[in-house]
Amino acid sequence: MKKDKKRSLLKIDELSEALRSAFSKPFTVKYPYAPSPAPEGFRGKPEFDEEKCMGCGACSEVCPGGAISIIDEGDTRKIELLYGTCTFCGLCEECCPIEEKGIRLTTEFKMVFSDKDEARTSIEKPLVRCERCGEPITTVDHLKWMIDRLGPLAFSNATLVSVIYDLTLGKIPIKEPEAKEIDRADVIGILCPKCRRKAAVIDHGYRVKY
Amino acid sequence: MNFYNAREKNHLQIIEDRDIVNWWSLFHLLVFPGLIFAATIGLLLLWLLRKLIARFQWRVGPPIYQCFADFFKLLFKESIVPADANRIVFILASFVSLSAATVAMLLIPIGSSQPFQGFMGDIIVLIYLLSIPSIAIILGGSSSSNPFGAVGASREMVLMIAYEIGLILSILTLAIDAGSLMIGDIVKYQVSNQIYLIRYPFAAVAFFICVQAKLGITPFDIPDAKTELIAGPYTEYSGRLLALFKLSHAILFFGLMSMMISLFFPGPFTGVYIFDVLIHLLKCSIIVIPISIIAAVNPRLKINHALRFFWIFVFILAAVDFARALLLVIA
Amino acid sequence: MKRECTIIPMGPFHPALAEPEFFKLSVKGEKIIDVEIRIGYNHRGIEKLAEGLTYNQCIFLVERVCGICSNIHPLCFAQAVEEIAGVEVPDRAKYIRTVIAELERIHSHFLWLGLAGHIIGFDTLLMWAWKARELVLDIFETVTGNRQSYAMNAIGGVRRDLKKEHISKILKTMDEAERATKRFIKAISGDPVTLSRLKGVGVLSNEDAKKYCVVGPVARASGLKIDIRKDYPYAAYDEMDFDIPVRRDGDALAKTEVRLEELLQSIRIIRQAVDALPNGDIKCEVKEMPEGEGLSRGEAPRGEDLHYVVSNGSNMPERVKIRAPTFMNLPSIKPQLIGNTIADALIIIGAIDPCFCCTDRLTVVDVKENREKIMSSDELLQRSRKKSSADHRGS
Repeated sequence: MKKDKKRSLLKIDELSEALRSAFSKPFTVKYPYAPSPAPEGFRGKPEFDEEKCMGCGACSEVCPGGAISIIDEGDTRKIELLYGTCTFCGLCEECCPIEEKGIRLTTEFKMVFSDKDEARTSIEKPLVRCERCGEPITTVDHLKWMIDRLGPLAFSNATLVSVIYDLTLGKIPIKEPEAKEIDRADVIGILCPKCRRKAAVIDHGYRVKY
Repeated sequence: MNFYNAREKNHLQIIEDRDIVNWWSLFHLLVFPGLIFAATIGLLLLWLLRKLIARFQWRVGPPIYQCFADFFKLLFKESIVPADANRIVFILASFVSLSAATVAMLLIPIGSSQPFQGFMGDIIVLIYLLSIPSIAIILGGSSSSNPFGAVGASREMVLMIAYEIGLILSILTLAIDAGSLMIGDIVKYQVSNQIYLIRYPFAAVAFFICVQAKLGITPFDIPDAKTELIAGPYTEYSGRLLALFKLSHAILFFGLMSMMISLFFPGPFTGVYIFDVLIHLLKCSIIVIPISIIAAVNPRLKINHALRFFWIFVFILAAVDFARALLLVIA
Repeated sequence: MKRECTIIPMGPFHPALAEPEFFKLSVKGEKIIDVEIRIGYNHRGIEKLAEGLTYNQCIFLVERVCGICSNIHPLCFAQAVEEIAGVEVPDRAKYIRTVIAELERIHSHFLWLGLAGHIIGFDTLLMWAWKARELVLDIFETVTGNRQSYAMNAIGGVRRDLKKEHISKILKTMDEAERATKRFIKAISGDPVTLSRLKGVGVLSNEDAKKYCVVGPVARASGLKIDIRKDYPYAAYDEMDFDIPVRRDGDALAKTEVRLEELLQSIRIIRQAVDALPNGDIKCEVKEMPEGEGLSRGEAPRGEDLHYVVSNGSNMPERVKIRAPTFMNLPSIKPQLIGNTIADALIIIGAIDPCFCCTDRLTVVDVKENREKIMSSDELLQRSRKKSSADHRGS
């Protein structure tokens, strides 16, 4: 009984904490009315960088949840990120081949949308298609980036050579696909790997002249 | 008509015109201190309780209109009566609960030494009226054909058996001391002599604990323990019927606080009625503070522990003062 | 004279159970005489999903096995894959893994303490415990970038480094967590009402604990001194100095005490690990994935967590098998519940710190032929469609 009394007296501990709480400010952050910034390095809403992103689609390859998708339509490539599916793991930022990162996780955590369709972000880039079959190759920015990285080696690839040619003339290397038989002239042109292989091995009958 | 005889005996103001009496009693029943006033104050006191508990938990707590918002939201919602339930009992239970609590308000003095409808032996009627809401909850819970409702109802019943003894014993203590079964006489006796909180502190503590059990506040929220029984007897109640139960709970809250004040520390009476009522309300809010502290630092009791606690600890507390009162009267 | 017993359905949706799980209690009066446990309401097929993802992506998938122990699952998975690849994780990464794992234990135990308080109607304890937990979550937010699902582990190391300012913040929070823990120990051991709710409730005897192969704090509360961190050390636990709290009573109070003492031990481990944090890389590169299989165990806040990975040499696992701790602990609820009252049922279920999502399995049993059946994904899809269209029509 005496022990019980002593133990129940210890309730003073709880009482003191309760009173301390009653006379101090609430621990709650009045969030929508008062700001509650996320710390630096918080993995929040991912956003594309219009300038730096080149539209290569590496992020969509690594995304574990499949939140990032590539939509090739006409002359544009649209890379779309669905916030509803995104798990904010940051793998897209980690695997982005550009050093300044074309996709970045911001510290923004507010993601309130009144419509389901608003819960997405996307970026559009001009797309280069195969001159013959119309298969998407990659974006212009990606080709530029490859040329930059390859340096003189870029001249070993005929597609890149044609791109460099167009770019130096100040043209956008996008041509309307023309469905016709691949012939000798197509060796210098913007071709998808499949068509390039065809163009390279095709026997035009010139060889007999040598 | 017995009421009138009782009034004459106690030299109270006799109003000859019966029509006026009826109109005034209707006003007392519905506006002051009955339904509207008691419900408003009761909801405000419940808000105070919630706010204080929140502050003890480092929280902000609800805004002052929260309880009203809850009530009005429920009013506009559909009530669903389960198909297997006893329809009449299920619906009637909430009305019975509310009307009993409202009528009880007429017998409790608020800011004066006299209740609005006092008569000989009104304290016994009051005890009955105050236990009707609990009985209504038991009826409603057991008629809802929900296992949680049934278990909750049986718990409510056990809890009622547990606390009623302490409650009645502590009230009887005062009745014996004052020598009257009228609540008005008990108040008057205290005003002219000593308040009972000082003379019978044990009875006051016993009454205080029983009131908490009656209101189902945290250490005794056993019948509607939400983590065990979802909502106990209220599980199947929704919409307006639930709103009526909430309202009767609020009225009961204010009624029991008022009763505690009248029985143990009434006064001081200034003579201006409005000031007296304000003092009364202030005292009500002061009682909420210890209730909220007890609710904040205690977990919920189990029903068998509660039964043991009331039958041993509370009973002894009440019995000690009961014996003292008996001895004083005899001596 | 046989009295019929009432069936009290605890779940699948119950205010105190955060996850869908069904406990069918047969009660007489308030006393429980039989229990039927049904799991499988939240089966997500994670093991199957893992077979279609690369190892790097799997980390984020297994992280979502459990919302509370979202570090131990990727940690175990990474360890299993590292075992197949035969790479040695840098020391600094090992220490960071230890720190994060112990921080996770602290946050999980605080969370459990709050929930236990809520279950016994002690909402103030819930608020106070979660207030203490909030500080730990703040560390996670700063160090790993998220309050939950830290995404800290990678195959071959960790993804983020512990910076100097992080360390000072961790040490500061540990002081506060220690103070809070000591206050909780006092509050629980000194409060007769709380003690009456916990003492002698849901006793799991030592024999039963062995019979049901329980793990983690549940086992330690029943007198079994098992802890993967000591028995089969992983990460940097072999260099840490800590004790394993053990109780013999096996009741809810013993489980609470074990967890509270583990909190103090975790704080001790974090202080050691942060002090002795070695310099160096935080990640090593995995050059290639050979064929093979890897098994890894870790001590989650709820007990032993097991990951088994089979590799076929490609960049995707051939098979992943996960055994979350609650899977072992859940059957032991039955002997604990029988003989107790309904009032105690939830604290008994809560005392094993169940995580139902981690546990959910699905087996289709043909009752007529008495054998199990394996369903293909198409069959499951059809079943789900049939069910949802039926529900739709019903409403």
